[in-house]
Amino acid sequence: MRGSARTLPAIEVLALLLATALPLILSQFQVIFLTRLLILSLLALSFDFAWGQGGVFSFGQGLFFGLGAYVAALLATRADMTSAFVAIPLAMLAGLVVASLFGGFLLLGRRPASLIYIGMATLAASYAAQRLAAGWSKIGGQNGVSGVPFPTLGGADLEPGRGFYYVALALLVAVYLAFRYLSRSQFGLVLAAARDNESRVGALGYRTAPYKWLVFALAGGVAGLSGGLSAFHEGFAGPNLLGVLTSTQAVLYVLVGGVGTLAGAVGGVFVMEYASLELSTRFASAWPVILGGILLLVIMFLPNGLIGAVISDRARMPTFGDRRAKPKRVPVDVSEEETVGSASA
Amino acid sequence: MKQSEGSTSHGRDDRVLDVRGLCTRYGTSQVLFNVDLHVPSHGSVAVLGRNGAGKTTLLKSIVGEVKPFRGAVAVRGRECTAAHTEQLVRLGLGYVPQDQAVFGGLTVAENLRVGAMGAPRGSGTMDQVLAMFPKLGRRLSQRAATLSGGERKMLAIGRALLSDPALLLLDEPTEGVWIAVVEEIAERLIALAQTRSVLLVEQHVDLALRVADYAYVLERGHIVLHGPSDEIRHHPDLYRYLAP
Repeated sequence: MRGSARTLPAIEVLALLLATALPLILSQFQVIFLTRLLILSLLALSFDFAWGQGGVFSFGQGLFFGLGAYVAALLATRADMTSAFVAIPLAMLAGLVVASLFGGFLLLGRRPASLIYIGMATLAASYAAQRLAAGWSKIGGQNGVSGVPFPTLGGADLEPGRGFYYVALALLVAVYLAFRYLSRSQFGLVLAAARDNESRVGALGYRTAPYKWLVFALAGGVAGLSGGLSAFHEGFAGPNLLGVLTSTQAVLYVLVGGVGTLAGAVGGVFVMEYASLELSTRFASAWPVILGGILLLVIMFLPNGLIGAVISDRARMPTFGDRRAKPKRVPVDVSEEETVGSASA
Repeated sequence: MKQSEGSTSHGRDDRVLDVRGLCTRYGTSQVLFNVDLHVPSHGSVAVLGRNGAGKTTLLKSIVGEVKPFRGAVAVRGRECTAAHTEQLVRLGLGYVPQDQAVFGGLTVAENLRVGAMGAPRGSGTMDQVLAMFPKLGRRLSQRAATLSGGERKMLAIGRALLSDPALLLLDEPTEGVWIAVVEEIAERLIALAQTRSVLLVEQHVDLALRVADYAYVLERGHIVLHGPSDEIRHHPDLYRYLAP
């Protein structure tokens, strides 16, 4: 039997406690590996927010991730700007601005683009950006930007390890809570109604395009933030980060974890990356095929993702909107109730 | 009473909706031909016609879901032929579509809340809506997809009322509804028509003519008959136009 409405918050709290305590008992290698997962979780959250909440199928989150990575890497290597308070926000800003412009073109036109068009356009943009970066010698061409120094935080180097881990965790929690708040607010309620039937939302006086545009822009910003952190953590930004592989990775994390739950996106990253690590150590050459088979089975038999196996559909749906506006229950005559209850469409 | 495609004025000057010479087509197939229709600021109007006559297309053309290729639509004297539905809602128009009128994945309370949020300030309240449709009050936490056909129609009408529209457009509000509930909805519509203008598209002729003061009959996209409901009801050609 799948959990009640309290299951998801319980999972969230438990995961946060575990994430806070684990670095204290894990090895340096394991902490660095976990930090990478936290950074990828931001990328997954950005896609889940765009698709699961906004209904915008952004199949090109790699574009914003890679852009953030390049901005942080270039600032650090060319402008000697390694302050985490400057370089990482600028990486986020780059993703936000480019996503705003691209989203404006896709979503705010007189005839907004269809779901398929958005998916194809974002994927094509991601691929084009990868090709552009690979051919642009001033930003390292195919070799990318390597030797990115550690970011500095309060004058000290933030090396990969516990310090970096907790910075990444704090940012992930902040983004998670912000997305969680937005998806449960009146803003989220309009988006939920639009996912149900967009044209009917117009009949209630809403223009949904600006809502979707804002979601797309915010998702781009968070992907940029993730990319900026990645460049500092890995010491590298390359064309592949902008491309189809990264974009597809973001989609797969969310499909495996469960669309529209935020927690599922983070869970998807951990399950997929741990499975990759374990399988690659046991099956040196066949592991991608095995992993692909497992992912296929999950997507086929758990359409709501792994989180759908433990939480019911309704429990996954939040309570929306302004609770002050909650209508009063009106007592109804029981005999009347039976009449309507038996009516059928 | 008139039996032509000419002027279809009620003889009232204060119109909340003015449709003039409306022509709409889907691809190369024209559905509406020079439709003139007016709704006074106090009173209700019915549009009758058999299946495929163009009734739903007429409403969709008025609310901007389908773009007419000729003709004009004015709401409260403001030209808005090319306006989007949400702009028309801001002008005081409420629209209850025929299909998928409620958000099935949301609860009844959430459906009402999303309607209330989009409403201009000073609009109706949810409590007023629940007073009009008290059965919804027992199902606030129930997902709209699990409601009966009648309850869904009530929810859709109630949600549209939250914007306190000057003109309420209803597309087949009793379609697919159990007969006992049809009468209940009819009573609410008659009450509604006392407080605001209503443009009603309906297959139940008796119900439509009871609710509306004035009626139009559409036949293959043409207005073939119009006049006060009492006269339309007894018109010798009415059932010839409505017969399947």
